[in-house]
Amino acid sequence: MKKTIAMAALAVAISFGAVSCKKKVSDADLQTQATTVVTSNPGASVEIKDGVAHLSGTFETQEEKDAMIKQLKAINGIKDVHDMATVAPATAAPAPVAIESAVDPAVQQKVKDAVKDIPGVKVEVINGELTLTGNISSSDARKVKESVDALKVGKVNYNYTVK
Amino acid sequence: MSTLQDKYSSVVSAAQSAGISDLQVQEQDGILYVSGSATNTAAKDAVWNALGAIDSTYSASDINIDVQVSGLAAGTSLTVATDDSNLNIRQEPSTDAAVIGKASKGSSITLVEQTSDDWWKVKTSDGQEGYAYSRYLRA
Repeated sequence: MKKTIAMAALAVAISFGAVSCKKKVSDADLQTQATTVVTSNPGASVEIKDGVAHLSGTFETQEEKDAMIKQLKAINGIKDVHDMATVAPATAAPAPVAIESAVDPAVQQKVKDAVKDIPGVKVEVINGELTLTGNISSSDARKVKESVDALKVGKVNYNYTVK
Repeated sequence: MSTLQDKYSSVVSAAQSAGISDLQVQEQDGILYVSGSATNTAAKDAVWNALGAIDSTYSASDINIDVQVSGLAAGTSLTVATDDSNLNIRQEPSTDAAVIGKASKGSSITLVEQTSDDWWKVKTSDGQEGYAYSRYLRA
């Protein structure tokens, strides 16, 4: 019985010894390594406290976040990763709508094509804005707007009288 | 949601329900631009009908709808949808170009290619090829 206790004590001593033999990595060193990993995502940041990595910021996908957590856990000395980061898909700002000049000859030709079959409509460019006047039926007004909107010439003044 | 997006939300939802692809809604200089591609004329019409429900005279200057029927395969059958006259088939994609053929209202013609949004190259039943104004064609 005594022998068993002694053996157990020895085993405990050895295991403690083994732990103490393992070189403890300082938070500062871990911070350097962790930061290197995290810089691949400019939206995220990491802070090491007592060997635990605190990951914060935003990721576009859950997969990207999981991959980074895995990379952090793989750093020797990091005990755990505390995940405080969020997933938010980036919404790319749409490119501005390209506006054509209302006086561009190609645009003028298309406007001419668009109103050719529609009598009673007058088209002018007033202060750089395409301006339509005259009398028109509602169904023709729709046809004109369908064609003219496709040209994207900025503001169009539909100043005709719609019957 | 901005005031304009709010005002025209029914147009945007109509575009979504009609399955308009590459749908883009953006506001610029006080105009709401709604653009996308439709696979057929009915889908495009659904969007414009939604505008008509709000603006029955189609005179609004604060919305620009650019939904075009696109991606039609060569050989697609198109219906001539003129008001009452025959549809002119022209030599070049312009109303300045010579008329080289006619297609009667309600008849079917074959698409050769969608040259631009407003001019499509077509082939009539008697084999005449030329350009027709796409407003008068239904896919």
